[in-house]
Amino acid sequence: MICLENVVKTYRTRKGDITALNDINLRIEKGEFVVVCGPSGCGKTTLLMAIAAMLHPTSGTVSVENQGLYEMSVQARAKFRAENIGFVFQMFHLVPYLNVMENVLLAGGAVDKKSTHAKALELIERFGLAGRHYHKPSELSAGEKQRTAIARALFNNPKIILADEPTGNLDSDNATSVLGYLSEFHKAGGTVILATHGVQAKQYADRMISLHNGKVADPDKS
Amino acid sequence: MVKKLFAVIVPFVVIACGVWIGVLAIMNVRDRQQEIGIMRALGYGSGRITALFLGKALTIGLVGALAGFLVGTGLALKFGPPIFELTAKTMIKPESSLLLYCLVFAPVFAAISSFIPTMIAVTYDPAVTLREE
Repeated sequence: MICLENVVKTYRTRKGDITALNDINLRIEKGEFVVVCGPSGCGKTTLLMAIAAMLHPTSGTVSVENQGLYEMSVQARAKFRAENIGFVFQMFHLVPYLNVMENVLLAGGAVDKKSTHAKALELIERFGLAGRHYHKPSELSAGEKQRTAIARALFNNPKIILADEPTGNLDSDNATSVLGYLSEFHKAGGTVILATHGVQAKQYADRMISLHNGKVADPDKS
Repeated sequence: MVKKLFAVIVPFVVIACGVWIGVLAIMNVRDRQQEIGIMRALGYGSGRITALFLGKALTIGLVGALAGFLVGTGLALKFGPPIFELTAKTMIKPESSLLLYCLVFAPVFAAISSFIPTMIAVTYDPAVTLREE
């Protein structure tokens, strides 16, 4: 279970403080598919980063399986991320000079996995990228880039997938296939937290959470 | 006379090289900011990222030392005698001990110059980097 208690995140800028998350209280059960929706700038990405142990909240606690993420050392948080979390981003964030295979294998480097080539190959073929192994991101379509990113996210068998606007740069068909892959992961027992300002993901969600100005719009449902 | 001249010039050249290596390392870190963010998001620890950048500096130092020795020795053999008006060409010879110094000191020097940029790399906030398009 993922639990956020009284989480506040304030960014300090030259033009003043910006509160991205304002007293968030949230529980997400293991195996849930949660869609976090809201307009741009409402705090969706900040929320995902906080859950990913990548963004220390200004106050409040974030815990996974009763383990406080920000009570851990930086190294322990990195290990936690490598072993438990898969990320899918709107901008794909593939390493431009690595090919598809190397981008997928990059995830394995974080956990010192041995004999990972076969696993990468299996994922690449499962996501319809057979024959694209040695292509660089610049030689791939947007859909192929996102499928590569999903293969990379699933490489370490994460328990949680955090998807930040994963369909934001995709056409309708590719968006449907990406949501389908995330749904498959969810049906296999994984937890999915997907941030979006679109509506397409709603049909896959167990629960919707609306954020507005850094607050949960309907706290009773969270 | 020549020795005195080099005693003055060499420290300046060494400092300039160190600063230049440091500037290149900072540019490299900036170029690879997003990649560092991705690695952090994937769970790479700061030790692995430090090893990556210092490893690159050591490798470049090693390759640079070897290339520098070969090119420098070649140029010295070809242009040394007329420049320094030596009558006997045999007075300029390749020095194997110099190669050893180069192979030891250049990588260490490159690593020291890259240390601060590497520390900048490992302290980058991945959450900020990954939000940038």
